[in-house]
Amino acid sequence: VRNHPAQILTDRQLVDQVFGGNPHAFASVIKNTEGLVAQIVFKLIPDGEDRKDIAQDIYLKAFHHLGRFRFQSKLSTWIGQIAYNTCISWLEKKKLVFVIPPNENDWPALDHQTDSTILKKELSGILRSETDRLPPLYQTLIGLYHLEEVSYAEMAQITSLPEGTVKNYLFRARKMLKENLLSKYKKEAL
Amino acid sequence: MTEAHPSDMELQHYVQDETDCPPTVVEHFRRCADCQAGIAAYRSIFEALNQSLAESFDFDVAALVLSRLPPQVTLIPQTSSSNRRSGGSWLWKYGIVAMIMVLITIPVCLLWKNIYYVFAGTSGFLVYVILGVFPLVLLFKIVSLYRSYRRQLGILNYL
Repeated sequence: VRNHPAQILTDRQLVDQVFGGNPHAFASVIKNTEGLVAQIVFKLIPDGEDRKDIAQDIYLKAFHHLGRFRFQSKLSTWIGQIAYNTCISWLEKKKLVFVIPPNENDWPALDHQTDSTILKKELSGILRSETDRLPPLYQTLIGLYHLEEVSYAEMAQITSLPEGTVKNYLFRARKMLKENLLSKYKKEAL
Repeated sequence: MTEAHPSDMELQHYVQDETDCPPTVVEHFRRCADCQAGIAAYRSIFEALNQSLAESFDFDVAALVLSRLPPQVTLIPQTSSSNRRSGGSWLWKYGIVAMIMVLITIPVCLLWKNIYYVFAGTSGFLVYVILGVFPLVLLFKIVSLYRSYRRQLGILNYL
């Protein structure tokens, strides 16, 4: 399966090729969806080694259950759903509490920074630290929406939450980010 | 101009798509310095979130997964016929129950006289209770065994 823009295959064509025994077709499925899967796995699973096993597990499940895919959603959404459920099952089995607040010393002393360019550059780093403090589900939704451009409806499918709840969680997550940032830094810094 | 400050949700909504906001709210945002500060904060947050680095695995996922797949695996798409097959699993279950009933009924019919002598001294009501309850308990046990088996497989995520 080539990934030339002119030859981008539809989900149905890709799945048909996998059923036809073409090993490269499934490699394409992985390449197309690994960004989305990484967003989910990184936000929900704290340990790197576990992430590797889980990523493998997700795609092996997707491969073996591909026959159950009904084309009622995008293939990436279906695989995202497998990823989310696999992470949740893993967390339930391990009974992990995975929210580890970062060290307070990691915060740069922005009060002394006046150059807005430096502030702009640092903002994404600061925001990342601040995002890491959010509940894992909020982090996952933020990552899916802002980085993977997943729609509300698709996020609802992935997480099995109502669409309204997904929207509400996203709004709350951004509000928490804003309040945390404003409480730590001067308003002008933003 | 709207006197009360719009909610944070409306601020975010405005940053995402200002054309979709009611004119009164937009008018408020134009005149209110507090709301403008909030909008500026959200704009910075949205911009930074959209530009932040996406997570990525530090290993080749495709190579790892493909190496774990059996070399000659052939996947069979689930067609409507296979759906019928899964729907037919109920028929299969009924078949087993029917077979159990037959296996119980045949010896009861063949050995009816012996059973009659065994229960000759007991009241008819007790006989009916024993013969009625025993198959029910047996059926209940079989169903619960089957359910626990399904649950265990479910926990292993293979269903």
